[in-house]
Amino acid sequence: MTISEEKVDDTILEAKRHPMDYLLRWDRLPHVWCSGCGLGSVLSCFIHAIAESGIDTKKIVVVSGIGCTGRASGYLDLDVFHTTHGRAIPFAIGLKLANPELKVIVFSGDGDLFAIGGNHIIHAARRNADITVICSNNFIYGMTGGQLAPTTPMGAWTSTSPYGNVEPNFNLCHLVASAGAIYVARWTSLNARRLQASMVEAIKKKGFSFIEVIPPCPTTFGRRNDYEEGIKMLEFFRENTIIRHGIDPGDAELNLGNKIVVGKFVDKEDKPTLSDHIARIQLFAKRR
Amino acid sequence: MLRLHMTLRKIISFIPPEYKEQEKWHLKIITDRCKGCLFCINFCPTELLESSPEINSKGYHPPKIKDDMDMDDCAKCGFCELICPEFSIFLEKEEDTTGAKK
Ligand SMILES: Cc1ncc(C[n+]2csc(CCOP(=O)(O)OP(=O)(O)O)c2C)c(N)n1
Ligand code: SF4
Ligand code: SF4
Ligand code: SF4
Ligand SMILES: [Mg+2]
Repeated sequence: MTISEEKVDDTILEAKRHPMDYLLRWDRLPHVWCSGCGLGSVLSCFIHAIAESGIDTKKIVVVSGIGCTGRASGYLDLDVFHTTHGRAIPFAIGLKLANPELKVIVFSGDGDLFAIGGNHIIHAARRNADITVICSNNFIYGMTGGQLAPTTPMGAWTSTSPYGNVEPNFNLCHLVASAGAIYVARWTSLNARRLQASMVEAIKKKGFSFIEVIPPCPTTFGRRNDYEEGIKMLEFFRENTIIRHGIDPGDAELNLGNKIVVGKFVDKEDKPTLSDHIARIQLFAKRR
Repeated sequence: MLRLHMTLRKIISFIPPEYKEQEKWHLKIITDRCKGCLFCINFCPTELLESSPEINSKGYHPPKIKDDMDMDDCAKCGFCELICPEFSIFLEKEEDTTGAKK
């Protein structure tokens, strides 16, 4: 046989299906997210984490609110709930209480979870509701045209802060940790492997677990703040992310121009959950 | 000169099959899902990929393997698959290890 007959392996082969399509409503692809948006990477890490966790997919429910991030639930071939704006957490807690067998995961945006839904999340953490919350913090209300969010860093330019933001931003990890979350981590969408591993950990945790993930939003945040391409923001993450496991999340503020501190900040065991307390009360009520 | 070097490289990497890795991996792509974000290209640890001059049905340039490289240069890390926001590019192991041809 001559060399020329051997096929040199230098091309990417065309495929019809992706190996992870079994967790996706692939007939709805391509999704609505912009070119260069990091949300697709986060969703990719999420489905890889679901697969890695080995949890029966029939027992998983994903709940999201409204926003670009909120669209994620519609692309998952799992039991999903696309709820009203800000109310993903109450729906999720309801699902968990009605059927304690379920793994309930909230996947939503910073505006949805910490602006309109801000009260729900602090009380879910306080109650140690047995759910996992994955919050994509793109520093902005992406879907509605880039308005200022409670997560927008000081000085950032948005469509409603045309002279730069004058308000300090929430430190999401610090907030939920103070309210009682038993697992708190932050990653950028470029820390894909670590994010995936962290998602597996959080999903398997008993109690209120929280992951903040920072994806680039080139369209409504980036182009007003010198990150007009997703890749440019990822390059910034590559140069400016530092991993600090176990530090006080209060020391991990997110500010423009500063290093982005990521890592697993909180990981507690054996704190009774809301479901535990309810089960105890149910037992007590039956005995009477 | 460059061309010669390239072919030589490919020949060398293909002649002695007994020295080659037994596992066979492919990069695959669903071209029309790609939105040309460059994530796979920029963050491949071996810098295997580049933008193809071709245009897909949505008007984006999908990635291709660089002319002077081939799958032997791929670290098979799967990072491109994980980071791809469009579920477009992926790494797959060929189940049938008997033939290299596809
Ligand atoms: C009750 C209500 N108020 C306002 C809106 C408009 N609205 C839709 S999405 C959104 C913000 C979403 O921001 P975020 O959760 O950060 O999601 P992103 O698009 O950034 O991923 C707002 C204010 C709405 N849909 N419903
Ligand atoms: S507006 Fe921002 S968050 Fe929404 S899809 Fe586009 S890049 Fe992503
Ligand atoms: S598998 Fe890894 S080394 Fe190979 S092309 Fe993808 S990112 Fe690059
Ligand atoms: S990461 Fe995916 S969408 Fe982006 S250029 Fe590569 S194949 Fe295309
Ligand atoms: Mg947002």
